[in-house]
Amino acid sequence: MADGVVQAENPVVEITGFSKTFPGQVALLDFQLALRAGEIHALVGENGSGKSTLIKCLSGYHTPDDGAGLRVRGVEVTVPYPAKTAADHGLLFVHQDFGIVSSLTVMENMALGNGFATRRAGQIDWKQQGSRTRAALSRLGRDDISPAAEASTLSSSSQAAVAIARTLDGAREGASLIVLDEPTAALPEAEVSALFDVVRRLADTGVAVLFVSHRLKEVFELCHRVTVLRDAKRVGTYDVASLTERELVQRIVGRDLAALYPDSVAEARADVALAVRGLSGKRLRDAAFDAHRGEILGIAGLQGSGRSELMRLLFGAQARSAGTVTVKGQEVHLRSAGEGIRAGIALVPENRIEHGVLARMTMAENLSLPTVSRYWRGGRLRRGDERARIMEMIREFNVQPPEPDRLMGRFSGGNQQKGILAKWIETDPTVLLLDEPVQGVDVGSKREIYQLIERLVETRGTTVVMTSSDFEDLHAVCHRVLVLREGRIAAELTGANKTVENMIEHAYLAAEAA
Amino acid sequence: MSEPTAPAETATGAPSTQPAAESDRALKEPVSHTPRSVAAARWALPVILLLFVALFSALRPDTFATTGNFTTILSQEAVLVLLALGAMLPLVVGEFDLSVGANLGVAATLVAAMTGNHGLSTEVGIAIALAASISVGVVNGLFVAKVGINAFVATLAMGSLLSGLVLWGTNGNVINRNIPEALTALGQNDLLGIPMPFVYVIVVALIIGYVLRFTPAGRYLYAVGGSKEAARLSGLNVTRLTIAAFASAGLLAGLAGVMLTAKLGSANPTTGPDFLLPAFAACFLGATAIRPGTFNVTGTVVAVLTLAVGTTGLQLLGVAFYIEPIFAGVVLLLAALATRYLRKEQA
Repeated sequence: MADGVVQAENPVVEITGFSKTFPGQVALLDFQLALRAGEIHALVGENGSGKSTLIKCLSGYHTPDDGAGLRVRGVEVTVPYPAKTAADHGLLFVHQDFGIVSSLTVMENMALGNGFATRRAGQIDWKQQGSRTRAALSRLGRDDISPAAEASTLSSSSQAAVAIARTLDGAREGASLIVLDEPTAALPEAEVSALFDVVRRLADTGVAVLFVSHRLKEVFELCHRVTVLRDAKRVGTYDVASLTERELVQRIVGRDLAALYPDSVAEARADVALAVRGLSGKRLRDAAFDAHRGEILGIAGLQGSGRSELMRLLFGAQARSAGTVTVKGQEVHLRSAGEGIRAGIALVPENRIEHGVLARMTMAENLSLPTVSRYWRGGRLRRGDERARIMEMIREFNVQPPEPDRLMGRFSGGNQQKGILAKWIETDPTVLLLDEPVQGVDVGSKREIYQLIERLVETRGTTVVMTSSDFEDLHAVCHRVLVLREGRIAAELTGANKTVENMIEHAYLAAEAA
Repeated sequence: MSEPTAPAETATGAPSTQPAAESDRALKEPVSHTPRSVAAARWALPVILLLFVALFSALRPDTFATTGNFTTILSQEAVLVLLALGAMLPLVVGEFDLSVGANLGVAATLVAAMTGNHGLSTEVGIAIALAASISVGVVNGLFVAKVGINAFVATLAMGSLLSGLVLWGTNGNVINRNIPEALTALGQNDLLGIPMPFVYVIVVALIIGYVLRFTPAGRYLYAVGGSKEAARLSGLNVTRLTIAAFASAGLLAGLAGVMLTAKLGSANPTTGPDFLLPAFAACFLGATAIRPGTFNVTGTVVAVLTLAVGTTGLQLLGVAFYIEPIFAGVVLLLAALATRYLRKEQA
């Protein structure tokens, strides 16, 4: 179908001419979109394409440039408006981290931002607060969540439901548009569909849902239409049914990609680089496998299957209770990450924001953290040498923007992850452990990261062990895949057996049988 | 208890029900270069210091703009600068040391008691005082990094304990007899017109500044302060670095205490804790300058001097006695507000 606006009948929200210029940079240019009642509309684009800017303009956090127009249910809204009053216009926003305080009960969480139901003397009317909470959850089809339950006892998708219910409850004049900003980013794979049920119920109430996600699979599964942003501009709005995943990726990236993944790699070389026998620790039981020089070994498994624990045990960041690890024929007894690094192992941790980056330090300081002592010679730090090497790394890994002194926290997720990868590859590891290396990363960066890994394996013969919740990725990138289930290696999949179906089957099998 | 953060830092990680509120989202999209206003913020505090000097010199040319006044300020503030640098090192690794003030009192009375009451030589007296202060720091570090007690609580207890021990040991009496001249000479002589205490401060500040800015160790300390888990996963020995920061804080508190006794020729068992809050105020004010959002040596030194010049100038103008703490409070708040505002622009 042609690029352009799909004509919207009875638009509930009409956005026209939204632009936002920052000093020296246009973040959003002439954005327009008409959203229908009851539709789930995906908003996709690489990091920095203008998604966040658009959302912040809509929420009133940013003031859009002159010429922005907004109509809600046919009524003109004066732009700009203060962030406080967005809800009064029926525009609601649910933040990625949900803002649920886990030590409070569901109904206490409902009161955050909306206030408690009170009696005359000002004391909380718990009975009314409870029924108000139950009613709000029931509208989303989640009568199963008890208002008195402590939030920490709820699954992530239930917490998301509470957050959405709370946001809806805060709209006194009724909701017209609800923006879900990457609601699945922090959600375990297994709980995504539970959240989707909530989102569908939400749309059924006649609200337009703007769904922001990096995961294209979710767009196809959940959404009716999709709007693509690239370089601050709207590329187009499409019916999801009219597109293939590949066509969508092309529109997001703006180039004709041969494929999302690099050409599949030559067969793994024969010599064993990493040998694991009887490895046990928290959540992991008796793991035994070999990984070869130049091999990309995938670890498939559900959240809680012991994936991350395996990675941390191999790196020395977690204590093992039994078993041996041999690197290049040398048995190693790792008790700390430092010992892991010296043994030739590197780990890109799963939680990028908390464990991967030092957000308040510069990109340069992050890049050289494990290797900075190399530049300490003769009682001083050779900062010139260090800087030269850092510039090479930034170029080699295509970190954008190429500014070494910019704070790490101000880079996009994809560029942070490229930086973390660069930092670890700089230690020249024998074994590189990647725990969810492309989580929360845009498609363009994802492809770059996989290409970097491919190149590393081919040129240096590094052994890569990698986990991913996205079994498609494991299928496409890895030579061989081990499936973990409840802390044990349930299957080894090679060659033609290395299919997504097989991974899912082995990852879930016992749980379903039980 | 949350970790200490430099005043410029935003409260990331706090649950936010406002999706568009400035949380990590705000940092995700690349933004243009650092605005000029933010670059200017680095030099605001030093400029204010110079403006104060110029202003009070113009208003009180006879009393303020004299060599005597400037050397008095430098010598007066040397103790506070050393203590502030001591308090700063645990802050760099994201921890508080609330015992530095009491630890200063330990060293001040120990060196006086060892030399004055027990007749030990100045060198031995200083060595004993510093050893005691370093030990206090190491114990603090072990409690925090090994045992895992919250630093705020552990050092609060340690500070209270130490000030009690000092009162016990001295019976609450000032030690002022038989303080050897070799000791007082250290605090009262000068080098090319600069009071010796401030000469030591310059040397110490240069060393700490060098370690923090130009060695891998400094990088590691800031990394631990940034995120303990990220630092640990990067192969750093977080426990050892934390203990080292507390031990250095102890050493600096000890040096400050020895210098106080050398300067005054006596030791008052109640002085130490009075220095604690001004030292922290200097650290936080210093973190708004030079490298905004980061605890740094130059900023801390400039902060102490700015507050000192301001209060001295106000005193010479003859303002009421209660203006002094009000002035210090207002300066700190204004600096934090200005940096906060500029940060917002940056994000």
